[in-house]
Amino acid sequence: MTHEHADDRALVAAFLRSRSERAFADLYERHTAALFRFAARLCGGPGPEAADIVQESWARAVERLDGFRWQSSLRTWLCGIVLNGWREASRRERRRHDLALVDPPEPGAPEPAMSDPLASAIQELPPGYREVLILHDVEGFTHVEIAREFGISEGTSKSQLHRARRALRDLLEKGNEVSHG
Amino acid sequence: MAEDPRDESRDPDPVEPEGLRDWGHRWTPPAALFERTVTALRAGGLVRPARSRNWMPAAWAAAFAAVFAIGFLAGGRRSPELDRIPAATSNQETTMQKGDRYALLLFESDEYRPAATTDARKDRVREYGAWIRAKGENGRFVDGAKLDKDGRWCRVRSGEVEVLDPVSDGARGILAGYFILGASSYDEAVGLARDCPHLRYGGTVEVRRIES
Repeated sequence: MTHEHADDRALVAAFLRSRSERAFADLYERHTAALFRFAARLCGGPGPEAADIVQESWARAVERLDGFRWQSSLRTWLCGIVLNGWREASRRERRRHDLALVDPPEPGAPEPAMSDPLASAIQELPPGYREVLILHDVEGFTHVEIAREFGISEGTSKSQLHRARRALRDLLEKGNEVSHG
Repeated sequence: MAEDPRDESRDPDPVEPEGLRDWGHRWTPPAALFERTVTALRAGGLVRPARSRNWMPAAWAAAFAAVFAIGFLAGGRRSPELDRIPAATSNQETTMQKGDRYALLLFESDEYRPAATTDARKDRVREYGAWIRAKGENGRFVDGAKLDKDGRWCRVRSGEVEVLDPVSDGARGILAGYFILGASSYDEAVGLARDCPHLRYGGTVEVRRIES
């Protein structure tokens, strides 16, 4: 067991014993920065959507914490909850567009305020490509971990990653051509 | 084994775009996210709400008040009761309802009137305990401690550290203890200090905001 794993076990045990805010604060402090960066990458930036997803994820995590069996690291488990939260939020947003409650955006259109070409390009990727690209190339999960923890088979993860990288390269090259006239 | 041409992961050029691994590494969660999250957890009954911990301040306050009051009542002589009563520690969990933290620094000068009789001592213990409990039940009380009067002053003179016995601070006297309370302003903190028993018996209470 790694040192970090042992620390997480101790913090979780302390929280489950006391259910105190202080014990929760220790867990929060240890993991929230990474969870927020993950959520923000999925959302395309560190905005309120990412914060909302992290808040909801903590609520789900605390509800299920006493059933967590330590078959993965606590961080990985929490990232799975964040990913599912992002998927649900994305589905809700698409349903709103389908019901014409808001003007639908162009498919894959980047946030108007996004000035980072890499962020813009990633936001243009289809959700499946974006997930795997972020999980593997940014967050550093292996295909085996992605298959075990995030509901994406290993074969799908590999093929999605290949296509995501190619699509991202194409988008970035197109972006370079446009900016250089 | 022949390679599967359908294995798309065999990209001849699987180079990551520059900057991908570092993308977003400086992003940090908003400061208010913690409070929002805890509020939501409280509302869902997923963490023990702050008010349910008031049993601790009330139960602890009696022990703390006894430590504090006995220390004052003994007029600086160490009382055997002090060895039996657990000292208050900052590990006791309390939750600020709002605002900042303020230190109430309790000074004891020659004007301070110790309790002269056993009954008077008991009354003082009850009085301090009631004050601490009241602050605890309002979610204001954070911490406190009685300080040993046999302290030490350290300062540098002629390049050397010299160690002295504490000297009375003019009209205020010796620093004898402190409370930490929660308040949103000096006016509010002073309002909380006004009925501190220490004042009633000739002590001085200095109120200072703790910078965060």
